Amino acid sequence: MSFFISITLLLMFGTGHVMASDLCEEPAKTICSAPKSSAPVTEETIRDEASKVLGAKGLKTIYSKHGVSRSAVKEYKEYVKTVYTLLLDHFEKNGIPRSAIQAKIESIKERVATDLIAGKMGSSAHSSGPKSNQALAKRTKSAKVSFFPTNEAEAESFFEDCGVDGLTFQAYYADDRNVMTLCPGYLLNVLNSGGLDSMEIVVAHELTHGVDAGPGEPQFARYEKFVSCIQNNYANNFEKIDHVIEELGDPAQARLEKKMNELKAAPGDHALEIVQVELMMKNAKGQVKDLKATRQYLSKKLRRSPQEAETHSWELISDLGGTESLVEHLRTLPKEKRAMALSQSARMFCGDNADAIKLIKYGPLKDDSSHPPREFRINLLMNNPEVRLLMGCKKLEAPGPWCAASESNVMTARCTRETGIELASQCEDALYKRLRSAGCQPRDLSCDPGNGTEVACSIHSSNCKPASRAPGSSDSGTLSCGVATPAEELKVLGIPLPAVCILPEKGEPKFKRPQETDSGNTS
Amino acid sequence: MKLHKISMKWAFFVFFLPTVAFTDSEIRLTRESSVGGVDSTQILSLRCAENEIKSNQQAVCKIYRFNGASTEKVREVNVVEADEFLKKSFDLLSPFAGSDQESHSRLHWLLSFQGKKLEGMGTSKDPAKKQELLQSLMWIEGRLVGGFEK
Repeated sequence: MSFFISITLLLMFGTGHVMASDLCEEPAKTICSAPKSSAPVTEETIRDEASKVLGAKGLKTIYSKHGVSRSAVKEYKEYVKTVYTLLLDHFEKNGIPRSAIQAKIESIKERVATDLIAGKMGSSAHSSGPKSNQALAKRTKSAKVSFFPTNEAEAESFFEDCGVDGLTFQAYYADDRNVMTLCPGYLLNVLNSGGLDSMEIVVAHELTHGVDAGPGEPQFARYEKFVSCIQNNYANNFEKIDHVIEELGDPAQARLEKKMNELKAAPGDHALEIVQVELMMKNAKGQVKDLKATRQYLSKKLRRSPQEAETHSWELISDLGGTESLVEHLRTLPKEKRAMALSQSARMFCGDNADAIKLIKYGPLKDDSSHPPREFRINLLMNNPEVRLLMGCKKLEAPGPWCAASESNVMTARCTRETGIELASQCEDALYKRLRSAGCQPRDLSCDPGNGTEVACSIHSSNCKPASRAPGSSDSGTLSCGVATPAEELKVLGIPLPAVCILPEKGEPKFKRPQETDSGNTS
Repeated sequence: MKLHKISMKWAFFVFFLPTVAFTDSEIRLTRESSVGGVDSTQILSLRCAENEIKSNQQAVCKIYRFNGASTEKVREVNVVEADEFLKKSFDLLSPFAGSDQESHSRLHWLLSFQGKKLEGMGTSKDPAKKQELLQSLMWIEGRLVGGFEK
């Protein structure tokens, strides 16, 4: 018996057990504290294996043998390719064939492209640039993925970003070449994260950099609605930066100096901590400057000053792409696997200086000049109505609405029941009929059993193609048939067209027409 | 070298280890990373700290690796080899310290040696100079990560 308990515990901790309810209640805390792999493959293991494979050409001898010469660059290419191959072997040992990695990337490309075509990343009709949604989708699909350098120029770039052994935790996108680079160090992190789902947001985020835009750029118009939504609803959120600026200012410097003196005076080996504190002291000075620029950018200068705006908009747009892709992926998973998939994927938002930051306890917000703080990004992800639906989150805990780039919106129906009926299928049937009667041809209708007393169905309006208007329909395409939740909550959720079906204990669902609702709020 | 700060009982050891008496020498490579738009920082550092002189009165040099994503590693380094390495690194990087650098580089380096300090980034506006710099940094980082064995 104890053997089985041990195995169970090992599996639980090895895979990082995550509860959907925890994700709904405290997303950042749940995601960022989820345990990592219980038996990670270390960098040192990979380096040792590479040395065995390459023998005299191994890392230990390459640079001392060749010194500073061009031959080192050639050897470097071979070394990184070897490291990549070894990592693929480790994936296979963990039951993940190398073909699965490529298939995962291709499936993410497909999802990002589909979202672009569906208008989830804005409409080309609102863009003054020449690129249509289809053209951007084509660009995404044709993006190349680089795991190791193939020529000398790439080797230099690779070294700068991935490091001498390729094991820096790094992924990036090069717009000029339409190439996404996933350093072997990033793949090592995926391996140790327990599965390929951890790639979902990162890969989609990087690919979306291929279609993002900043203020002043032709394509920015397609994202104006989204960026304005962020600006209008979250300026106060970023006003917290004031607090952080204060924290990073003189008092923080004094604390860091005190900490430094303590470390230097303390017995034992604290050299690594000293390096970290030194880095923080340097960063703190830079961050005060960056944060001031960030606050100005978000609250005032978003569109007027391209220079100021060269900060968050690209990253927020890429986060949007990551979230939309994740939503589509979550749809394909059974409910019990969604929490883990979301947690693994969103873990990348947590940042990895967390331990170093804890050393001094700056506070929860860490915001550089381009990336929003992690709590903001995770909360925004969890504000997505489709994410909440798929995760079975009952009500919105995180502040603020979800901001979408799409002109069309997600339509969500919430069905409540009394007792004793198969709610999900009936709600799905009812909503399907309702959409049909409103003149739509729905596809990809997704219903989730929710908490057992309430079921929610969602459909993106781009998946509800207008058909011939039903005779006598007075909805003019409006699909609302009532509201099940308070108007305030609907507003917060950003669901413009709620539909609700009140199901009796037995029998057919009965819809309330807009004029029949108690609140009278129909859209 | 701060030989004047070392007491007479050190003289014997200094005699046999003439390059030992470091004063907080260090070479540090810092690489900013942005995975999925999330920042991380890797620090690779060789430090020879004056306050880490062991009871046998031999200075200690250590290599630290802080890769925020995964691991940190500490390795002790032969002090004479470290001195030689730092000197060569200083010679290699000296031509690249200064302002002829592009600001967007994710790679930064810092070197403190014999009371002198050099600092710079992993790129240059001059392509030829950049290539030379990167090869120097590859040599330095390769030895830090892979070891000093000849």
